[in-house]
Amino acid sequence: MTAARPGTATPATGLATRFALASAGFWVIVVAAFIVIASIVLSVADEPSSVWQGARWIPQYFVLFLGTMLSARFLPVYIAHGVTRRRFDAAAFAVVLGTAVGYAAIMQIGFLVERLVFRWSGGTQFPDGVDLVAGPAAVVGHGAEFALLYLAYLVTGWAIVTGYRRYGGLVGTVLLVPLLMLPFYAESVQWRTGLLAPVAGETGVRVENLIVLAGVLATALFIHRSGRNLPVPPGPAGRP
Amino acid sequence: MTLSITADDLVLDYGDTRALDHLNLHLEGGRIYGLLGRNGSGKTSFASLAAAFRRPTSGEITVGGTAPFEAAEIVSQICLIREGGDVFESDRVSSVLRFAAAHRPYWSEERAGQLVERFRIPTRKRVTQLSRGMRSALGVTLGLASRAPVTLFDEVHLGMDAPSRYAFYEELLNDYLAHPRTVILSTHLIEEVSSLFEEVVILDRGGLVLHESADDMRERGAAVTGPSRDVEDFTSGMRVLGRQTLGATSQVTVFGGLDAEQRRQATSAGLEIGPVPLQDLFIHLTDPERETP
Repeated sequence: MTAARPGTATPATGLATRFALASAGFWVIVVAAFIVIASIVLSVADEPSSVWQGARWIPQYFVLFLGTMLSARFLPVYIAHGVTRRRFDAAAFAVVLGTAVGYAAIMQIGFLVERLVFRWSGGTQFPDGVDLVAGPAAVVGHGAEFALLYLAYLVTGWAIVTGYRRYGGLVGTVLLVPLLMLPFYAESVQWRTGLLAPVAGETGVRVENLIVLAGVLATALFIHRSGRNLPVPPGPAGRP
Repeated sequence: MTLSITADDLVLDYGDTRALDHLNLHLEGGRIYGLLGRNGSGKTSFASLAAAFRRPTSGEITVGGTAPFEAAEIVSQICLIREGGDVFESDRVSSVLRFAAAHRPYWSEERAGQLVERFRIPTRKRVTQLSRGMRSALGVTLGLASRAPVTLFDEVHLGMDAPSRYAFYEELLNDYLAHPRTVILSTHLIEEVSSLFEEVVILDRGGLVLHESADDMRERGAAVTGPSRDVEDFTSGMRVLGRQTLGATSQVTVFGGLDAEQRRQATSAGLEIGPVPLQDLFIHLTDPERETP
């Protein structure tokens, strides 16, 4: 029950710890599954390619879930402990940003580790697609794209629950359509597949990423505007 | 440090339902208030607004002269404990206490430790594994150890057994005497806790029915005890709140204070005049059939 000095904690520290703990569990499972699947693929397939690339879509749905937890579970408990919504939002956005960068870094590290395995086994990691870790610039550039993708999913999850809490079930459901455009577009930009791939393919990569970034900022603004009047629900907060 | 709470023409709507209806109320700092009312009277709504859990529909509520909603310097001074506890339910109790310590500026770790020991709260267990009584005890611990200048308990002790509730009342009083602050207790267990109240606030249908000192409120009624016939004669024409009879003896609770002459008459008739239970007055004052307070 020891605190450094009562009442001196910042929400960012607590949120970052909770996200880190949840993420650690998630990545342990993903990496374990990857090791098993990669071992099988490398020993059985005639021309094995990147297995880690197959795991790329899993984190985005997990961070969507993490985003939903911000308004659904964390905000009411923080308010009940004397933290303002404004302070929580600022802390949460910093943590969301850090989480997106962290997940992107893990993805790129995964590709780099896999690259070592492919070099050792003599296979080709990316026989058809773009080499995501071709050099330092590619590692950083594609890492930034991953970060943008995860950021889009995180803020969308956060915004969806904020919408439901602020405006109720009907409007919250209607808001799903515009809110989900951002992650769908971000995914299409990144992989040139998915629902919005034709739209995403019409501009240059740099412009498309700027559009995603603008979408992230617009969603963050929606969260800020809608969340500043968000009430604590009548039932117990913090229920998982 | 104590803070007052003022509601000025305060309105809170949940959709079409009006929870608080132009409420005007001023609570001086540094007292223990009993916040009473039937279900749906607006007690929880008032507490939620005071703790900045939500924003008023119209009107204003201030704590220490400042509207608490999104006021960082004020919300850290307010602690509202609801029955659910508003904690991370999958956390261990020890983590919940650490979290509170990290965010409550006046947190007393020593007090928290004493209360954990007194209520025998298992700190290694997760909140979801606690019984309802233990969760209530955890809420009580969070509220008392927070030492917040404004501490509100909203039906928090309902889940506790009788010994634990009395332990809570004792701990609350001791803590209040050592560290005076504004305490608001919202409860349905009126008689049990009424001795703690310095002032009583009764809400009904979102409005203020009564706000006065607990002593003054008790003087609003009297319990007349004696031979049934004499009691009936004496209380004839008075507003009777309750009547109990055991053999040839009756106790009738009447509304309205007795003047010196009436008390003299009662004494000479061999009747005993006693204080009226707060609960009986509360039931009378919030009777739906009753038009005006």
